[in-house]
This record gives sequence, structure tokens and C-alpha cells, in this order.
Amino acid sequence: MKIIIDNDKCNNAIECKKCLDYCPVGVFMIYPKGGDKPFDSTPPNMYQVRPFFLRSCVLCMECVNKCPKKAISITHV
Amino acid sequence: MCEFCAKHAEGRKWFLDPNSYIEELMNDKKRRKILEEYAGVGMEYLLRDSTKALQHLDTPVLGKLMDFVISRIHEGSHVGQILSLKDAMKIVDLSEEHVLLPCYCRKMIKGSEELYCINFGPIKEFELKANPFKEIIEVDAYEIKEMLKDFHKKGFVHQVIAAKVPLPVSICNCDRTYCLSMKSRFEQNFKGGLMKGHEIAVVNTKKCNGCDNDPKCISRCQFGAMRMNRDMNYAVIDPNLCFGCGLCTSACEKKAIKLVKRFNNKY
Repeated sequence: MKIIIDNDKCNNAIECKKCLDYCPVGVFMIYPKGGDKPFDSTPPNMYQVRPFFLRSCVLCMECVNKCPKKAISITHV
Repeated sequence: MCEFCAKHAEGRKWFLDPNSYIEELMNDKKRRKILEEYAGVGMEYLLRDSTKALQHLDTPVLGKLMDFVISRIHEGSHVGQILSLKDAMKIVDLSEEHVLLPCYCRKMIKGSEELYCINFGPIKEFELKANPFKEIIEVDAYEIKEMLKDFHKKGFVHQVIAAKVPLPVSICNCDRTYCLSMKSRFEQNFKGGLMKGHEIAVVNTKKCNGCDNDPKCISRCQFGAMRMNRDMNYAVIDPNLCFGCGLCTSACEKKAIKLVKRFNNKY
């Protein structure tokens, strides 16, 4: 099983965060993309969502259905 | 005995030893560097990088090597240990300068800033140093104790965090869904991030009556250590899975569950 996020479609992660809100098991993590500057505040367009904790996914499909930009897809392999 | 207690507190609990809170520890160069890295938004970068690194522990051969290397780098620098409510209260009494900060795990996994993180000691100084205009919420010991009781009632697990053992810097109130150190232990198989507590919960089978098959204790366990024996009609706790948070003890109306000292060395 794989969760794929299209980063071109998901371009305003820090403002939206719908997938994080609706995920009941905390699969996704939002984090600053690149750079290593702990004391500067990160600009909002530098955030990214990744499905880090795939092992806990319960396949409820909330994230796929609730994503306003249709950027998330789940493949069953 | 827990390895930290043997090393730093002569067999007492390391976070309850008054010597763990002295200023010499706070002024230690290595610790100051670690705390500087954490302060401000530094924690976000740290959690990002550590989670990324832990992803590779699943690979067959490389994983074992990674585990060794990460454990070496980690070495108790940002370690959490499960606490009972009683011990958490004692830590509040021992520590000074309590401040409330938003929980970083919930910020990154849930996407919301919620004030769950109780910090003390040098944290205030470093947060202000990293961001002088930041509004920091100061709370006194009484308020914190009330908060802890409230969190315990809701079913959150308390965890003491050390900025390089034995200097405790914060008490976390965690939920399995959002806590990154729990996720690193259970989902990414990294043992160093979270340690079991000093106690184990034990059921008194004479007092436990199974609550008419509607037990409140089992749903409160976040570690999956409890189950019902339906033939005998009482609850059982797996001592290998129990982390000693004490959530089940406070849920029991019959007072049939007790926390006892952990004797095996599997932390």
C-alpha cells in the first residue's frame, strides 16, 4: 500500500492542513521542506506534507475524499 | 534498575533526585548547545530529520547499522520516559520557572498549536533568546498540578523529557496518535526515543469483578497491554507491554489495579 501526494497540486500545505485534520491515526507529518536554519521562522510556502507513518494507516480514505486539491491518491499493491 | 538511575542517581529515580536540577547541569556546554538547537522553531527541524532518518530502520541490513549509529548519536540527548501522575507531581515540586508551550508533535502531526507541553528550568531562557518577541505563558505550580490531573482524567500519558540525562526539562502529555516518540518506538522500531516507566500495573484478581463486561480500564491503555479474561471475569495486564503510566489504576472503581516497582530490566 502506498500513499502518493502530488506536490505540484499541494502547494499551500501550512494554510490548508485538511489531511492532517481528518486523519484519525496521524499518518501525515507537516514539516519545513529544505534548509537548516533553526532560528529563522520558516516562510509558509516552504512547508510540505508527507505520509511518514504508513504502518498505522487504516484505509478510511478520509484524506483522499477531503483534499480540496485532489492531490492525494492511495494505491493498493 | 533503569540505566539512568544507576548511572546518575545511585538507584533513586533520576528525575526525582534534587541533584538533577542544579545549575551546574544547566550551564554545561553540551547541554546548552542541545537546548539552543531545540529552542525557537529548531524542534521542527530536529523532528523532521530524526523521523526521516528512522524511516530507514526497516531496511534489512542497513537498518541494523542505522540503528546502531542513531543510538550512538542519540545517547540520551532527547529522551522520554513514561511517568505516573504521582511522580509528575513530584517533578513539579522540584522544578522552577514553569512555562507552557505548544506541543511540537501535535503541531506537526495534527497541524494545530495546543498548549500541552509543560516546560521548566532553562527552557524559558532559551526560548526568549531564540525569539525575544515571543509571548511565553508562565504558570505556577498549583495551576500545573490541576492541569496534570485534568490531562490524566482525559487519558493522556505523562512523559518526562530530558535534555541530555539527567536534566529534566519538560513534562509531555501524550496521545498515541500524535506523540512522535511513541510513534518512533511502535511504528519505526527505535527504542531510544521512549523508555518504559519505573513501575508496572498489576491487577488484584480478587478485587476485580470484570465490571459486567464493560471495563473502563482497558480502553484507557494506550499501549495495548490490557485484556479481559472472559472465562475468569477479570482483567489481565501483560507486564512486557505495560509502560507504567498508571492510567488504568485511576479508572478502576474497585481500586483493583496497583502500580508496583518494575523488577525486570527491560526498559
